[in-house]
Amino acid sequence: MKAHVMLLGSIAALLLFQWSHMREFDAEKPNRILHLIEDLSQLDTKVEQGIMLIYSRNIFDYDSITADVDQMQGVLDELSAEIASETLFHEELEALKRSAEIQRSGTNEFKASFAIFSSSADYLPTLISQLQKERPELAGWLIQLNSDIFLWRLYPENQEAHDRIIKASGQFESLELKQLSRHVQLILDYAPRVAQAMNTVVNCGTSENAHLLSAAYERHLMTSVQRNQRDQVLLIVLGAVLLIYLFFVLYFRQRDAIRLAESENRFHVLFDLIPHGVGVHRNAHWIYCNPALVKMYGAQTEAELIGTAVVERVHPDNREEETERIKLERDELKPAPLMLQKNLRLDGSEFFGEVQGIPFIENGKPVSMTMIRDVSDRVEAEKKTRQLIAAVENTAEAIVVSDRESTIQYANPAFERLTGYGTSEAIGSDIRLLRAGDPEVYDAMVARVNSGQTWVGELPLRTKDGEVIVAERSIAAICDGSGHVVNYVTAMRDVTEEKRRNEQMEHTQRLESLGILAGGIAHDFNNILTAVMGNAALAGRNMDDASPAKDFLARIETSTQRASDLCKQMLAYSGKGRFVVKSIYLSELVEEMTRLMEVSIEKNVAIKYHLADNLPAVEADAAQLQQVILNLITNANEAIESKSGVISFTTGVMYADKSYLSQTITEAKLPEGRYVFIEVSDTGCGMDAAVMKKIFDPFFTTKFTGRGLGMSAVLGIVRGHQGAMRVYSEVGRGTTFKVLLPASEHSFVLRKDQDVDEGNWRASGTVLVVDDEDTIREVATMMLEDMGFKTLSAGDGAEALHVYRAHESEVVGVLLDMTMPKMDGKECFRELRRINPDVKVLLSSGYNEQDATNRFVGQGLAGFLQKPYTPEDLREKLRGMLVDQAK
Amino acid sequence: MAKETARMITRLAAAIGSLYIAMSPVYALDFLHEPIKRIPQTLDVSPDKAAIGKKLFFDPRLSVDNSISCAHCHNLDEKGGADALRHSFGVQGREGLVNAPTVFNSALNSTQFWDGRAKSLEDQVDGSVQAHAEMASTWPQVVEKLRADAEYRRLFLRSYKTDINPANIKHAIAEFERTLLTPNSRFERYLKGDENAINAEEKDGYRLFKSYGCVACHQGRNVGGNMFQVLGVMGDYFSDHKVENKADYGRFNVTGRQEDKYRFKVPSLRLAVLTAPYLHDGSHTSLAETIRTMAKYQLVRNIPDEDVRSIIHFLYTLPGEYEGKSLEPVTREHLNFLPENKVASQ
Repeated sequence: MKAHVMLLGSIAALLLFQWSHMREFDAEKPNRILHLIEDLSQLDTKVEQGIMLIYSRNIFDYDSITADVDQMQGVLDELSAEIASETLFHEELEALKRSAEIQRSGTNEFKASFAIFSSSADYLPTLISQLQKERPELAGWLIQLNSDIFLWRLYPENQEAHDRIIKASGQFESLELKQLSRHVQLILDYAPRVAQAMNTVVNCGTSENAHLLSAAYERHLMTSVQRNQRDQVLLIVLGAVLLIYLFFVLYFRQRDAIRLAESENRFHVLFDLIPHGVGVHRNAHWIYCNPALVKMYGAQTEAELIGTAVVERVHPDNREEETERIKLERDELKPAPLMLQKNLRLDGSEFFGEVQGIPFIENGKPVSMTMIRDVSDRVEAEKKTRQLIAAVENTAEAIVVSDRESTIQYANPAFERLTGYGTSEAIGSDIRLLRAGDPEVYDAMVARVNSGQTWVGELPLRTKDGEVIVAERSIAAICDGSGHVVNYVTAMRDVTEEKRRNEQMEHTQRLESLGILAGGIAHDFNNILTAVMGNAALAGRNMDDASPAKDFLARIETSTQRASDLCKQMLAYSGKGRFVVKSIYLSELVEEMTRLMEVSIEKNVAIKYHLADNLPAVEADAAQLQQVILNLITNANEAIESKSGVISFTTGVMYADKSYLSQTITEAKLPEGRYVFIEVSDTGCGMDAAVMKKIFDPFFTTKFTGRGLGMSAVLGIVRGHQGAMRVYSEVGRGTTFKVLLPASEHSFVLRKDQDVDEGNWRASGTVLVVDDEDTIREVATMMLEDMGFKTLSAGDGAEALHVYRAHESEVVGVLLDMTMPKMDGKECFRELRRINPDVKVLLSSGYNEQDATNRFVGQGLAGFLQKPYTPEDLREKLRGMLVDQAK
Repeated sequence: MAKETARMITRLAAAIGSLYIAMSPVYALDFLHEPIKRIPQTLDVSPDKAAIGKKLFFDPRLSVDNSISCAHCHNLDEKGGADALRHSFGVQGREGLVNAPTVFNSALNSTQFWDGRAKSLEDQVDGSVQAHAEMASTWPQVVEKLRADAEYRRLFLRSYKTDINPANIKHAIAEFERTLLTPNSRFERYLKGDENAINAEEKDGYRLFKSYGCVACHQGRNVGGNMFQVLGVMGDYFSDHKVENKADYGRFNVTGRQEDKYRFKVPSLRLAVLTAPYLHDGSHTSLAETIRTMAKYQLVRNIPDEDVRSIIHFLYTLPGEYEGKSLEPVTREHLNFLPENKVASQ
């Protein structure tokens, strides 16, 4: 544009120059000049005419010729002024001036000379006629002289007349014609001078020079007219060029303006459409905000933002930074780099924006265009992604991502732990490296996953060490937008240990259910045996001692007793054997059993005792503990076989912590604490690992005649006492069993069994028998009546309450079964206590006491009677209960 | 043939010459072709500027010491526009070289000063203001002094549309001088055809003025003033009158030409009766004496006293009117002159 303006300016300047140049051409000027020259010629003629007139008519009109000469001078001056600038005519003008000057001086000369000449010449006739009168003798000569002078004046070239005048003037002196002589002399002198002056005036060349000047000027005029025409054409051409140029410039400008407007409109639409916020700010205040920015800042209209400070919309954490950026843009005109920034909406809420600015100059002032992208979603997504990455990186499951070519693209740290392949090692390698099983399974897996389903299952996996482990795998496909599988993600978990544990768990559960089965059988069996035993005993009493049936009854009792023993073993195994819990000192217990043990072992076996004194007591069933000890010594004896060997008994107390307890064979978790232990070691054959694993299983035996319940019962008893066992064994070296029982908290004191004077006790009062089993109710009623009690009976808890209310005053005790329909023993006991808080209740159950009494802790239960029971057992419990009451 | 023709022409010339001589004393007056013309009533003059010029004409600030004005040497009231001194005096009593001519009708002169060195009245002002023996001033001085005068500034600005400058000053004075005309003299009335405007003696004087040849030089509207003439055409004036100063060289001082030596501008005789003494050097105190000198040196004639008297009578008819008043003196002092023989005997 600048170039256009300069070019246009140049053309315009040229045009102006040409125009002013043309203005110099004064069309009137040639006329004036030619007129002046004409005037000059005329004046010249006039002067000449005037002189001739004066000369011929002797009229002294000097004013007019003087005026003419003066006027000539004036005209000449005017002319000089007119064409002074034209050096072209300098010569002609100078010649004209010279001739005019000659003419002027000639005129002056003429005036002066003619004045003198004419006055003498005019006077001469008078003088001559005067002389004629005075000197008549000279009349002829005088007339001749006069005539000669006249002739000569008329024809100055008349040499004869002139000669005669000269000749005559030679006689003036002698003739004493002094005055005449002087006038004639004057005439002679001045006539040529007048003639010369006239000649000068006529021949000075003024008109010729004027003509020359005129001719020269006309020539010049012609060329200047031609030049003027050329100038006019040039002017028109220049004007046309200027107009055309101007037209094009304006045309292109207009076209550019339209294009600019279109472009601007496009940008406007862009700014309105673009989802990013775009704004322009000057002096750190908004001057433009596009709709996206308005929306982004939570404004309704642009006006709410225009004029506000840019930093107002920036979170205080980023304001300092923003101020720096604005300063950078404004002062150094440098673009502000892309940055993530917390911004504020008008309502004060925050959003993350990616901000970028670029400064530019608008109207001579620096402004900045700033673009803001709301990336809150992205930031949130990134946060989530980071969380997911952290989760994937830290999860216990190995996660691996592979592509369609099975190349590993990602593996988390758990993968390394699982497979032994490092992350960097894994990425890029083939995931099929891990395969260790039937290829068909894999094909099926791939097919399933590719069909868009998740494959879940267990597959063997080959680790870096070459070990094959079992891993649970979950494989899913990752699809792109169009549903094509691009990646597979595999999650893997080592389930080898879990599987092993599960197998063990299953084994244990099997044993437990076996225990429950055994316990259940024993319970029902005990009820039956109670009836058998009770009926046999009652039959025996009502029979003479001499009766041959007595032997049979005795055999029934013995068989019943053996069946009861077997039941006891089964209950012990199931952990529900009858417990008569007392504070027992293990060392004492072992010492008491010495005789019994020595008879049950072979001669080649020696027993050694290492018994600790002052051990804490254990709360235990002495009979069961004895059974444990007998079972252990029996096994030890048999392990030594026929060789000579030693069985050693060791007792002691120890503090068992968690790690110690975890190495024991036990039921669930045991608390840390003091445990009393007994160790039974032998120098026998020992066991291998396989045998050791199975020794506690029921019905497992290495003996030809064994029933396979010994060690199971031992473990059941120990578990029933919240105890634990450890086994050490080496094949050929021997075996050690260690039984740990929790040390009692409260009894260090030796407790002597109460000696009861049986003889002083007599049964009296009424006992309420509550049991859902009719046989049990009958046997019990008979046993009690035999003892001397009156009896009442009830089939369930509710009936028992009814009966008890009716006979409260008579009833001294209640024999209550625990497991009943409608209202069980526990609830019935509670209701009875509600009627009479001091009611004496003896609980009876096929299960062991521990189990049963746990339900009644702190409720004032008077006693427990394990089924099956003998009349003596019943009498004993009742006596204890009622004597205590009596006390 | 040629000789005969020449003789015939000679005869014819002699006859015409005789006729001419016979006719000359009695030719009739043709007013249109009289050598003396009438003075115009006015010239083309701007009255405003002439008014400024008049103010300047009487303003002594044109001189170096504010002592003399133009009117100092050109007394319009009493002395016919001259100063009646032989030589004029300038500032500080400096004596000039020539006799001051009258300012009246000077506009009708073709040139100014005795030697005609000024072609215009403006040039004449320029000379007189700066001449050492006259006002001895300089234009910057004059302009400065006049600019100090608010009245002048106002007048010049109104009439010339410019500030005061030398050209304007000169023009204004010249413009005033162009108003100093003396038309309507008795002789003019005579020229217009009023036979009774002048008496017989004056008419006789006019006739003598012409016939003696005075009119050869003193002619035109100003009865002179339109040509240069040698002082002493016949008979050497300066051998009888010693050259006093270089002004006596006349126009020679201007042109440097030998033939211009002793040439002077022929003075106007319009106010001759009012402006004694006469000649460039002011050497002649009376008209009669001057006429005799002119007859002797210029005309080579003897003019008898009665003719001189007649001519003086004629000269008394020439002064016209200025500002409506006739300048013609009531008494004709110039008629009281010594007879020639007495002068010669003295």
